[in-house]
Amino acid sequence: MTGVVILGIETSCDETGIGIVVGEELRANALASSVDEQARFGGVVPEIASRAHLEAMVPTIERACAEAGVALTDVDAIAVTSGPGLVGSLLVGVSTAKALGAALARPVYGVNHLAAHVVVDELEHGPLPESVIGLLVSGGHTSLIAVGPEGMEALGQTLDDAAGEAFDKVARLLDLPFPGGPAIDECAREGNPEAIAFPRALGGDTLDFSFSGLKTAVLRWLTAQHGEVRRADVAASFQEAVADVLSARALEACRCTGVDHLVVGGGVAANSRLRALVTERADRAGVQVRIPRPGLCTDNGAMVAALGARLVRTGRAPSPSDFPATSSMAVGEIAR
Amino acid sequence: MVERILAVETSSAWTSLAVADDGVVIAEAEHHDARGHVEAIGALFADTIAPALTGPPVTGVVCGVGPGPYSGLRVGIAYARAVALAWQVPVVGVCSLDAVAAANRQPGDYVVAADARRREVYWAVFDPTGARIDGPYVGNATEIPTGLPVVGVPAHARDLITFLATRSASDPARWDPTPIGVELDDHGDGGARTARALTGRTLLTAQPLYLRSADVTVSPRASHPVTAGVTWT
Ligand SMILES: [Zn+2]
Repeated sequence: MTGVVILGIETSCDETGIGIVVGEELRANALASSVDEQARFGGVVPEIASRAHLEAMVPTIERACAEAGVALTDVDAIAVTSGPGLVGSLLVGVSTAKALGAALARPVYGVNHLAAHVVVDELEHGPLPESVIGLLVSGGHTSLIAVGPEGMEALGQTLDDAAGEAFDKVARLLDLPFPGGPAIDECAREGNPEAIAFPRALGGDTLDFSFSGLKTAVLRWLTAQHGEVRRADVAASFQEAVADVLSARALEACRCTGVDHLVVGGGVAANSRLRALVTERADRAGVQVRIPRPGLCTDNGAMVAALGARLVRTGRAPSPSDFPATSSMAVGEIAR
Repeated sequence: MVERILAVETSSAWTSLAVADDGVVIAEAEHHDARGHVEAIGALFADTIAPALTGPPVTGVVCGVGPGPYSGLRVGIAYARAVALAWQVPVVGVCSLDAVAAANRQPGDYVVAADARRREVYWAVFDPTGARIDGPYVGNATEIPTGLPVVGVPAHARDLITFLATRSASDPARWDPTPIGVELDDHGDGGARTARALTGRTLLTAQPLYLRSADVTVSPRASHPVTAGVTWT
């Protein structure tokens, strides 16, 4: 095997992901999801997710190894999401990583899920510059972070709902299926984004986000309607408001830090309007936007392996044997 | 060949690991902190178990499968499954109450009980040979049959070794576990008293004994009332 072999384990929400990176090349990105079991609840039930992770773990590791043509004994280091995320889910991944590290006598890196969402783009578009801004938007998080050579820094985050959650909740109001992101994106294609002027929330120079007001505005607007409503217009107008706020804040983060590379990650990065608006505004601001392909944007094991590979490459010490799984891993830490 | 077994127990607040050669414990390590299973298991292995694993290779892994609080239980079972995968050895489960019963035999029938939170207990009834004759159940402590002695100590990894010793090393079915099939027996009170699948000295697959369903506290989504008067076009 030429190149260091890193196995990455991701279990922060409802996707069990195992990625294998050899050198700088992605060899496998196996995934098992409990999203179908969650759909009837309209959101992620932590206990269902935790049970599904445990059942999926060994088969997903085996699938990833087969896909990569790698035996577990070929693995040089293991990386695992240590946080942030659902604790019950994280525990399954962290325990598995520690067990593999112990049984194979290999180092284990407990890593920050948010940093992994940014660094994963190295697998798609090559090495990242020393400093990048990450806009991370999914059902679990809405964060603006700065990743630099020494560590990472939180620049802004949601004060209430995650962006993906807002999509789920509004999809529910519109009688669209869960998960809401793809359903609203699809529905909005036929709609007029200027049909309804939904609020943009949070004025001033903050880089934080708030989506609960927007959700309430959609609810109020719908409550006032009688008879026929063009669902596509509501979806498009809501989506426009979200994409507007996210892209404006992301470019503002680039401007005030002087960083000219922006990585967009998380499931909501697949949203077509967000991609278009971020790209358009970044072009105007002279910022280079990098958006990994959808399979690397949503939670997956490859992103964890990619960050692990970077930590090994830069000579970082492995995590201590007693590192925890934590729901609110300090955003300043890239690894334990 | 030495039969070298790694035992992992996390069904209580304890995190407990042991290694045994032909049924004799050669190393064990324990930590007591309900919230710290995943922290403890890594440190216990690194500090105490790994140094003892010179010489013959581990030939099998056994883990306690509860009943017990699910998050901690999953830490131990995920750990046991992953080391077994890496070492390419079999992994089996033991009902943790059976392990406690094997290590704490009584002259007559007896009950083994463990904290199930939500003011409930996990319990099962055993005969003097240590064979489970009723349960496991989860429910109110008042449901435990009166007049039987109750053993209420947590399970330790070495108890799993003791349990395994009750099955002959030459038994070809020794590493051939029974898949767990718990019958969720919901008495209409939210699944509080659920029971019963397996009696006797049965080795199980390395799967948690979930005696409560995963969604007891959530209800399926209902359609939203605000849009009741709206027709989508
Ligand atoms: Zn994520």
